[in-house]
Amino acid sequence: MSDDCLDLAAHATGDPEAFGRLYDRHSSVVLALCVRNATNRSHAEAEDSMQETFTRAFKMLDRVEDCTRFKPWLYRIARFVCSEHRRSTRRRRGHEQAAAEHAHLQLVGGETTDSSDRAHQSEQLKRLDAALQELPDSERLAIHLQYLDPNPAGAARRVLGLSKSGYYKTLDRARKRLASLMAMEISA
Amino acid sequence: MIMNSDTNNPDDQDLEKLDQLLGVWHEDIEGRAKAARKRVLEANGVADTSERNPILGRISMYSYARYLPYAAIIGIALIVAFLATPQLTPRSFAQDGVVMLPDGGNLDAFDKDGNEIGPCALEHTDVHALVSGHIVRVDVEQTFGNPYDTVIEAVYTFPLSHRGAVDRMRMTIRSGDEERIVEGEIEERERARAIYETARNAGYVSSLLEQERPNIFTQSVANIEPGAEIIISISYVETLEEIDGTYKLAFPTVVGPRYIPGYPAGAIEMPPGCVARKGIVLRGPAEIVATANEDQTNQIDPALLTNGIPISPPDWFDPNKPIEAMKTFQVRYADGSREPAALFADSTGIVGGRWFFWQEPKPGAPFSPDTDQVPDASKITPMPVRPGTRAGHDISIRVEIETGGAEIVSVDAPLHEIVEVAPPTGKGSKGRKVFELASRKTIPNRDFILEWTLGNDGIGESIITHATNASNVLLLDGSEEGGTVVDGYLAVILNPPPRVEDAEIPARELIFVLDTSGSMNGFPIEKAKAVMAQAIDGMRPKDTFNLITFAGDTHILWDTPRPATQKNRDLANEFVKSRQSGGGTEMMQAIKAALTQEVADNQLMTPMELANLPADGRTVRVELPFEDYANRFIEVNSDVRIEIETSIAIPERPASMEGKSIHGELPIEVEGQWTTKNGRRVLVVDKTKFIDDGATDTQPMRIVVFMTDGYVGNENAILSEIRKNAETTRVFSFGIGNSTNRYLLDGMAEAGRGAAEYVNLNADADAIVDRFARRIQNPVLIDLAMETDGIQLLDVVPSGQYLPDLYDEKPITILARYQTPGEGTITLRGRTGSGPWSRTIHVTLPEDEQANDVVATLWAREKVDDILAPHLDKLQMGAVDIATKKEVIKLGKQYSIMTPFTSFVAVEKTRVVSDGKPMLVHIPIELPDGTDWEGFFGNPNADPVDSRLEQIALGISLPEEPAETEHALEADIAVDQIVGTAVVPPPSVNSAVVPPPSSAAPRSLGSPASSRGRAQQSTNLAFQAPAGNQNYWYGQNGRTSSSVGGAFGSGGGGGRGGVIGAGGSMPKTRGSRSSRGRRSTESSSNTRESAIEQSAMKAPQYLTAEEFKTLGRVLDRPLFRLAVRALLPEKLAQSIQLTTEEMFIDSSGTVLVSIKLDPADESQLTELKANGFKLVGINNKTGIAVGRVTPRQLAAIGLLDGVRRIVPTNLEFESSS
Repeated sequence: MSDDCLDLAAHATGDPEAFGRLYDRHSSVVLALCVRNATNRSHAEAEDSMQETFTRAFKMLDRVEDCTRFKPWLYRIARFVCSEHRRSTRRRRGHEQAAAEHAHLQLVGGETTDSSDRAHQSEQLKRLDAALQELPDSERLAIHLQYLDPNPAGAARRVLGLSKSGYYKTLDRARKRLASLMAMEISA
Repeated sequence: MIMNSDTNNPDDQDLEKLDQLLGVWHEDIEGRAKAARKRVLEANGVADTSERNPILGRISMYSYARYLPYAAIIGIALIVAFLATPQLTPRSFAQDGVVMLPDGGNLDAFDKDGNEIGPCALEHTDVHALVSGHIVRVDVEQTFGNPYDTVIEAVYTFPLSHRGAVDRMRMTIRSGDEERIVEGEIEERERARAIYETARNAGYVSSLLEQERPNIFTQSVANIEPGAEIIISISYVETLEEIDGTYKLAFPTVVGPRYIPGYPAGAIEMPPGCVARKGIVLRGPAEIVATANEDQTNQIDPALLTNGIPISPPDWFDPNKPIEAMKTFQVRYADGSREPAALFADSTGIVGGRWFFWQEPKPGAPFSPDTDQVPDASKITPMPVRPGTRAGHDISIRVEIETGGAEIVSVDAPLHEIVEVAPPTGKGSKGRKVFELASRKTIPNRDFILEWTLGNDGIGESIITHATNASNVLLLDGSEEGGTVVDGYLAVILNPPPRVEDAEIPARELIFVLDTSGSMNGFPIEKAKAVMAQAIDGMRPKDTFNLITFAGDTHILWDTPRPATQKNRDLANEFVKSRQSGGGTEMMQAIKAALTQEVADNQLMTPMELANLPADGRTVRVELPFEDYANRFIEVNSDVRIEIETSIAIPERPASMEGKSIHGELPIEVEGQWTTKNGRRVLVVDKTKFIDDGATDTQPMRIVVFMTDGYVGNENAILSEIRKNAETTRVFSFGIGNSTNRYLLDGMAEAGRGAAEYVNLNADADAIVDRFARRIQNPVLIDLAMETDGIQLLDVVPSGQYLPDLYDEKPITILARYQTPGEGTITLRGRTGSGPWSRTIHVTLPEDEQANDVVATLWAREKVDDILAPHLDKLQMGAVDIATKKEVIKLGKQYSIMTPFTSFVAVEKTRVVSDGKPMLVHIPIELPDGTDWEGFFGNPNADPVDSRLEQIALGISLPEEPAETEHALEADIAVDQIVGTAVVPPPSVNSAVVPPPSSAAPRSLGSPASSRGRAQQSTNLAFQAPAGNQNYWYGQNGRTSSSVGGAFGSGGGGGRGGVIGAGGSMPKTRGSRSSRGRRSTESSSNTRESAIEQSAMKAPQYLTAEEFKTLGRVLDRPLFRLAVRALLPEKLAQSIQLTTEEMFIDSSGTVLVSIKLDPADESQLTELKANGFKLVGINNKTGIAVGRVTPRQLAAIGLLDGVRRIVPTNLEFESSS
């Protein structure tokens, strides 16, 4: 039996720690997925979406029909939650924009410069954020799995329906695309 | 930005850097996920046994755990209620509520009170279609009259074919014996409207034709004198549809009521103290009559009143005190009766004792206000007449078919009775026939469809050219060619190859999506169910499928598609049967759900996965090493071993493996039954082959089948979504009904590279499903591409590398321009069921060919679609970028065709006929045939009401601020409790001034501060804190991170349904949110709360527990962390690790935040500034201030009285230049 199956069963029998284990196993990929869907890739919004995803999942754990497919099931909840959140944030943005328009005259010339290394890296990470968003869903997920899942190929089969070789091909393609996207931004 | 070839091949160094960066990125993600662990677990009531971050743990606890017992119970109850309650349709009515009744041949109009107004201003529509070969020209003549005793302006929203290129509008004015004709001119839309309005206000007869959607147009005719007759002739061309040898002409006659998603853009701006009520503003079409301050009344646009939102008396209103009105006037109805009216400075007004809220004037008498998702909703939602009444205008249609020789074998009009008549000139022949509607007074409430088949080989192929020598040829890069060049156009219409039955039919995955919204009520839903049931029965066991239904919300039958076994089919049929129609048409969600459905489970699985499945005889495909297969058992792990039964010795070898040696580790794929024999689980294999590592995985072909009438207003957003997601999916749309939204349905199929099918309510489900099965089994031609040799074609449409796939035997149509005459060939290549197919034709491009100018028009029309296709989402929002817009305008003007951005305008300038203030009359329209009034608008006897306004008034449909959960919860309980209880009868429509509501007066939720500055604001147009807006802001801003928030989000539906069912009204419900109730809820959760407070108190901090809670509510979580961190002693502060994103503190040590203030007045700002807030801007209307603040000051600011919410802002300010 897979770990998910064990933990789902444990949860059903009242093991208080089972949900925590499920969380540990899947939270980081869910969070990564949510980042992509968050407005302006706000990590805070993504965290909220992630939490909401697990909250919804928790309520429906007993409805998981096929424990081996817990992962895709969870990811789909994540996608729903994230898009809901994004919609609501977008509305809020509208109001902020209005305020900003009042503000922006006063901000001319007020650019701040930041030279520290940390700022550089944070800049790079922001760019990576943006580049990741450009990737097709499958490729982005392939990358997340590579870094966050202990068994990326196995996970890719379940979630993306890819064979082992197919997964590595996708991963390679994703890396190259990402690299050129990043390069493009530098040259721009 | 163009990607050059270098960047396509990033070097290793780049990749290494990238990997490093990716590592950091994912580490951060992992860290965050870990950090959030405790919070998430506790939010779900699960104990976290690993102590990680005590401070954060405690901080988060208060906000979620407190309400858990409630949340669980209410959440479940509400979700159930939500699923069971049909979502509300936008059940609003045109405020002028004119009803037309047939009366012994005289079609007379009555207003809502039953007073006779007169006959309808649109008398008749005459349609004349001339089919010539593959092309049809349709002339539409609308005859407007004026039965009133005053000059009128008529506005008519009507449909035309969405593929048509509207290239002519002509206005004929008949008055006595006189007849004057004015040709309409194409102009940029805004300019055309300006010309029209200027002419109207100057008293000239003028008309304007605007395109709202490719299939919805608005005709405005101004200054029609009493007794005059104005005929508007509109003409369009389109290529005829031909499928499997049947030619089809479809002419829509009515715009079906569209569902408008989103929130009303205007309603949320209502001033404080205004609550929407049920009822109307005007009793009927009315004219504004000046009284006391006459000079000002000129500026009052009647649309202010027709678009007014009915409200209860504002709470500043005191009947015992005089009010100073901004303007007073009278409205005069067509029957001569008058009512006194006044407008007040806070955008409220009163007509005959009925209060309303007015907004910016907008044309049209729509049943829906504009919304955030459909900003032009009011232009596409003409109100149909009520059941039992008629709109008062009729239609006659005449079709002349000229085949050019081939004999017309059979003719059919499935929805109308037609007769054959003699051609007007010359003699009829086998290839020339004329048909007419049997009645010249047919009711325009369904599509006119004429289908005919031809003998022999039909029309045959056509190559049509048109060329002139032009001096100002439009080039689409924006430049114009200097000098004289050839301006040529080419249309190629080729016959497809015959359908080839392919023996090998790939596995398919079908996702059926059924529209169960209110518009499908009655016949349509039953028809759709029948078709779907047939389609489900027709699947093969190898196929997998799933079902989605949508109305206000989306229901998915299974998490992932399942095989089409008998059991699953039965389940699906049961599911379909159980679906009731009702509610809105939130199609977008369903589209997303369908396009992103998980791939079915018949993918290759691992032995482990197999072991976890019940061995119930299901068909499975497993990947395993050859060694295991050779041994006839699979070693899953040390405990589990699966036996294999098979008679196949050596698996099949794919071609790519020829010559390679076989060893035990090679992966093979086996397919067979997973079954139990004599108590042991066995895999009975009947197919096996080596997995070709080089080959791509064979995924089943995903097919999404959409069954809907397409009555939504956000078509373009939906089409855009399909375009984005349809990479691996084919979308087949089934238009259900007698007057469907063909623009959407055809568009969906086109964007999803499938095909559209129309199912009228008389149609035979069997035949339709047969055709569908044939289509998806054996497309006629796929991967179709075009090459030219010896000639140069420009701007070929359809553009793109591949032409659309052909699912039916229908002609391939290609349109293009050229500038170089000459001879050459065009080659089409594609694939049929039997392999590659190609076809080469010889083409001569002439230098001069005056005939066939229609080709240029058709090309331009297609080109407009082509240009707009990538921008549909922006088009939906009315936000297409200038460059694209200009391109379309250029095409529109050059070729004189209608586009979203070009309109026809005609002005008769010889005579002034009025004083420029015509009475506005909206032409009523019919309810589409076969649909059900109640499905769209609810009980026909109910009072008109916009349910969404009602929802907002009730304050329960919008998600609430989670921090105010106690209110939210309480409201839910309250709403729940009043289900089934009659509350207060709806306010009477014609009642006199109603005294303001008493102590239970509605007021903005949870903002006691707003009551401060209410009364005196009646003269101030810039509202400090609009009540509706406030909900909006919080609702959208609020994080729905707590389980309580989630429960509430769904709760609105249940509660709302209950209230409506009970005929409840707003005041009572809102009153139930009184502070009294809130306190009691709080006290009931006291014990638990204090325990949590205790634990929070233990945390080393400088805030009281109460303040701590307040901060947690006001501050966005990253800000909260920042603020708390800033307050802690350094050592402890370090235990709160900031993530990269939270380090948005800039070099000045401040963060940029936006603050929601209530009220946003001067004193509030002064207080903010006193606390170190550096203001950069404020929007007084929304009460949002943007500025900088240090983390330390965040806490102080967050605790100020009027500060409702603080979130970080990373808006990038563009420089003002």
